[in-house]
Amino acid sequence: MKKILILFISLLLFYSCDNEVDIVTPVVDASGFLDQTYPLPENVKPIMEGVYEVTKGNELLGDQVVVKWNRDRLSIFAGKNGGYLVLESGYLDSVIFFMGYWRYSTNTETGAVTFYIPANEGGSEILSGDTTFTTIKFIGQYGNGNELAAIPLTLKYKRPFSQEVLQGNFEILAHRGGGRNSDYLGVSENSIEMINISERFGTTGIEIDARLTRDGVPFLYHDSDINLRLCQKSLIWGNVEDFTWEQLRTLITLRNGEKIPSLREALEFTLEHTNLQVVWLDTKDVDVVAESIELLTEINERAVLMGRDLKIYLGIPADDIYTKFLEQPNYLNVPSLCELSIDQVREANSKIWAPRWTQGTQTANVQQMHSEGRDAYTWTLDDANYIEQFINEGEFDGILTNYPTIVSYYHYIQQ
Amino acid sequence: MQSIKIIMLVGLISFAILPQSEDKTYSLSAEVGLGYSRYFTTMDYSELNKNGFSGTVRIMWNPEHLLSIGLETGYQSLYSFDISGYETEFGSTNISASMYSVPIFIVFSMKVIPNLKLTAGSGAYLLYNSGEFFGDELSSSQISIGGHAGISYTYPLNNSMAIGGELLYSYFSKLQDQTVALQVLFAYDFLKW
Repeated sequence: MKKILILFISLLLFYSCDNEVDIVTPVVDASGFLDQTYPLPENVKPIMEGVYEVTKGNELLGDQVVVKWNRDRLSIFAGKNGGYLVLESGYLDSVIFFMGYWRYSTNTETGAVTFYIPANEGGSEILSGDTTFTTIKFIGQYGNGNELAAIPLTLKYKRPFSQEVLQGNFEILAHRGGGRNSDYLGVSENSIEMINISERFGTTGIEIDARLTRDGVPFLYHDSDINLRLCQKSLIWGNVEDFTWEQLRTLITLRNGEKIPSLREALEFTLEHTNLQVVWLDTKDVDVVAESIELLTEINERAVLMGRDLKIYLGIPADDIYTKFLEQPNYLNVPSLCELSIDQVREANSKIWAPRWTQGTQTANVQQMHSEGRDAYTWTLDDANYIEQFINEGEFDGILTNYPTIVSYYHYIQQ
Repeated sequence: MQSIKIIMLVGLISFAILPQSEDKTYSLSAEVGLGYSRYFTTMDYSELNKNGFSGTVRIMWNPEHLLSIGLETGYQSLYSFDISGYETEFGSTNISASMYSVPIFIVFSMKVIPNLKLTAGSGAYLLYNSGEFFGDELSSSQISIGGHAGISYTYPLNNSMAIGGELLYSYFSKLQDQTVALQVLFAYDFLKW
């Protein structure tokens, strides 16, 4: 009787757990100041990229940061708590202005940030396209939560990215299109909206999850069932693959209000609206393998015709998917990424071998893959210490992570 | 919500330490409840019908303690939704959808005063979803953990039978929604020793 009572009380306590987290959304550019500035010319943006010393505001970012443009936003990656800044920009006269937010990847702390680069601290030289500038200084403030940005934060140019970084082909791959719902990024995992912002976190590639509807439409979704981790409350519940595309599309709303995307929509968006170079298409069920191959082949061909540096790989995460893959006609020519043994990588002619990170850096095996003309990615590496170790000591060509901002930091600071 | 759960927990612990009954009779009883249930959700479909039927069947073991233990199953409709001419990106359609649950619970009940009992149970809800959309059948099922708490009053008809009413609050973890049911309750001691 006592055991049953304890079990019952445990269940009651379990129900009491509430994992809702309130994330403060910092107020950014409430006055619309940036609307009154001119957009920065594309050709001057790379001039300001590099490694910077933090001269004020070390308590927020640590001692040095990485400054990197990603499409239309300037991102700054720090070594402390996976800290990062995402900034919009504009210029007036010879002064460059930035407004945005900071956030720690590993917790929910965030706040507003403002910067400017004065004309005599690099602004004029950057805007004139002068790559032989004498200095660049970001002068600004940050705030915590909803506070106005008022705490001093200053960055000073230290050095450009190393030749190894600039000439290498290292891929920073973001999990579930850019991040998980549990990372509270404001958009839902495996959504078009997530893919749209993923480059702000430094990603050069994404991993997305594909399933197949009852009527044969591949779509993006991680779990096997409709649940409140991924979706808002809806009229339908149960196994997602029990429903048709029309039913899912109409009746399911993702956690942050987005519609569930088809795989075609996600891949076409990636092709046409991002600069992402790699898509790791993780197949969650054997039924989606054939349709995924058909679609990725079409999009890869379109990328070649567009002159776009994008490659989509079919993920082979398990033996049942592997067996199904080998049943496909012409599978040897399908770009694939195999998480299984090296022998299976060879038999499937996968272009990428992707072992779990807990198996270590496996330098000899990675070198063997390189000698066979294959790349090697590891997954899903989130711990900052191991990320640093794998980047400095390993020879992997890419890391799949939930914290691409941390991988970006350690990748770009390499000497 | 949180406070209700805490009250349930404190109440359960408090009742468990009440003195034992002097009645040394053991019995097995069947309790059948039938009634109305109301679904409480944050889903914002104005056409959602939240009224439905509730039925429970319990087999309870009643020892010499005030606390009884048993198993419960039953049926509870959660919602139904019927709308014509619903506009979607695929065109206009009729939608019908409904959900009901079948509990498989361990249940505890405690006589607070003669004829008045508090009941609490926990276990799994089998959730069944069905309907139609664009001419395609909607059909799925899943399991959710859940729990309920209730208060009942029964009036003895004779030594073995009683009739009364029960107010039952149920929580569905997977849906993070609740129901409140009002049932007529029949109790029958079918085995005594």
